[in-house]
Amino acid sequence: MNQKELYLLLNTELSRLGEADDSAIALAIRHFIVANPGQKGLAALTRICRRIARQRGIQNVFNLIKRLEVSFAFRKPSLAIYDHTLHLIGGAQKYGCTIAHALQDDFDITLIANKPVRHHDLQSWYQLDLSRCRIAIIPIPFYEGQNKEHLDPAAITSRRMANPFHIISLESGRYDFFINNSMVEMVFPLANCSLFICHFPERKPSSYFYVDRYQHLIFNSRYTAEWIQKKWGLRPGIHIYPPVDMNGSVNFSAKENIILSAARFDPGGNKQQLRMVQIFNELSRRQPHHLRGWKLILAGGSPRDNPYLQSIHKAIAESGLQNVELQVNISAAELKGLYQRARIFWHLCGLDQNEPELVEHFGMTTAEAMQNGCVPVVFAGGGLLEIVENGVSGLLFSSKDQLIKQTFALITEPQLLQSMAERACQRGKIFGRGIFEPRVKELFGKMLNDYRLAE
Amino acid sequence: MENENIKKTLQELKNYYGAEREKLPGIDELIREPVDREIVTDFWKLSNAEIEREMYNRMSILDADADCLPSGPIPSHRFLLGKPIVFIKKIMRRLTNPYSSMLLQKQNQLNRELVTFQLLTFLKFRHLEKRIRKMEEKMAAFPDTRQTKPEIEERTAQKQ
Repeated sequence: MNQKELYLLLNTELSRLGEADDSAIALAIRHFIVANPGQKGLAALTRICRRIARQRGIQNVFNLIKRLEVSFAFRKPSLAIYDHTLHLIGGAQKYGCTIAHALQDDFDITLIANKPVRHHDLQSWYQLDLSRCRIAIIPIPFYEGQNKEHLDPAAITSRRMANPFHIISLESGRYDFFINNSMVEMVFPLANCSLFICHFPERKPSSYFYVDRYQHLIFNSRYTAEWIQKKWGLRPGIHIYPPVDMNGSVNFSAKENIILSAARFDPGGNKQQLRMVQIFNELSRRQPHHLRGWKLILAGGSPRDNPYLQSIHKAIAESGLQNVELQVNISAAELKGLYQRARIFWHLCGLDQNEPELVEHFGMTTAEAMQNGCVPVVFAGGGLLEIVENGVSGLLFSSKDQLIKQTFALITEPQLLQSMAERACQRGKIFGRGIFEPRVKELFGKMLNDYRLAE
Repeated sequence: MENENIKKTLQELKNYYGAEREKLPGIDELIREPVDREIVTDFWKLSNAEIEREMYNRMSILDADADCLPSGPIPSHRFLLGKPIVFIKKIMRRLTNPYSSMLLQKQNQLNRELVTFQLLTFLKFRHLEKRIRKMEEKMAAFPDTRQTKPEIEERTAQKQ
């Protein structure tokens, strides 16, 4: 292409500024700079930038300059991952941190949080070395005054209240790539390339809903995708299952007669541990002979002064059951030990629930249990249907009676239990970090290639 | 050398527009278009939990709006005309105050009563829901005595 043609191309792109896409403009300008690297050409670039700023806003021209820097390989692309709950341990947070871990060689990564959190915390919670990532703490004044550990986005009830998350929206504009892993729909993305990770669409679109302004929408399970369409009317984009990383050898001979549940002791009782105690009690009364030697262990995290946890303690005491144990706020290593010892894994979340958000969106603990050779007996709903193949790598139930029958079948048929445990272990591997990280790298590799204006 | 020039120019432009960016007050100005829009909720499609959340939100808005008496100073929006307009408004407010406040106070009272009534209805709903949930739990605790056809036949055969 000669110089005249380049000028023509650039002028065409600039004359269509209103509707032209950012990549076309960036590419035309890149060609122009390469063809005119002298002072005259660079002076023209300054004029072009002024024109774009006038017509499309300062953020647009700022983004264009950042993109050109990356395109000319003057620096690494920058990427920010925002999570308003990064200071708390959880599955969604692990998802974001594993993405950071996978990409920290190719990007300059900043983890944006609203409350203090250290590299050391993330390392001990998720066994991920994130030392090459920067952590930026940006407090949100609206929530600082409330002095609560959890920043509740649902507190913003109408547009009469100012959007407290605009501080994060403005920050997003500093980076080439911005990932919103926080399930806060109120962050408007200003970066060149933006991604929203949806773990579940909890709220209907209302005040300050900007998910449709993100370029890519990532979802964690097909169940979540279904509800993204139903609740938000948006087409879900990229499906990546959460990383479950319990790898290690499974020693089936070291297994004990344990039914395990690993779930947070949610104060609202969503995980239904109380019901597990009642069902185990019923099972013990119905089949005392077969249940002899079996134990129910309920493990999970809990806030202090949790009335739901107290009600479970009370139920155990009243039932007189000696073989029910509570393991509250135990370490990751202790939990892994329990998984390795347990034969059966129970998960009741979603049973007899009408609200879609009360059903498990994916079920990371179920996949963890399977990787450790536990046979999952879980509720047939939500994301659990995608993890467990009924009758092959575990059992699915829809009612209490079905759960009792299936558990009894496993207890009384050791061969069935053993073969299913082996298949569960195999199945669990498809949710490992070894699958997750290459998938993330592939996705971002493609995006980065486009971003660099590679031809 | 050429690359160095490009790098330097881009850096200068980035610094300049980065600083300009900081000066702007909000996102609308940064991208030259309004970011917010009105999203209408289709109440008929809401789930039970969503309805409860919506009721709670509306209650707090009603509560904030219940007081319809004029409050606070009259603000000025114009550079030169502002002061005389505010002055006239203040006089108007003084003159009409004895009559309007009588009506507005009555309206206020009615608003307060209505908001309180709505709140009580909301609480009543919650109590009823709690009672229903407890009853359901109690019912679930009863042993399931339903029998399948083969079980009944087996039992009948045993009796015979």
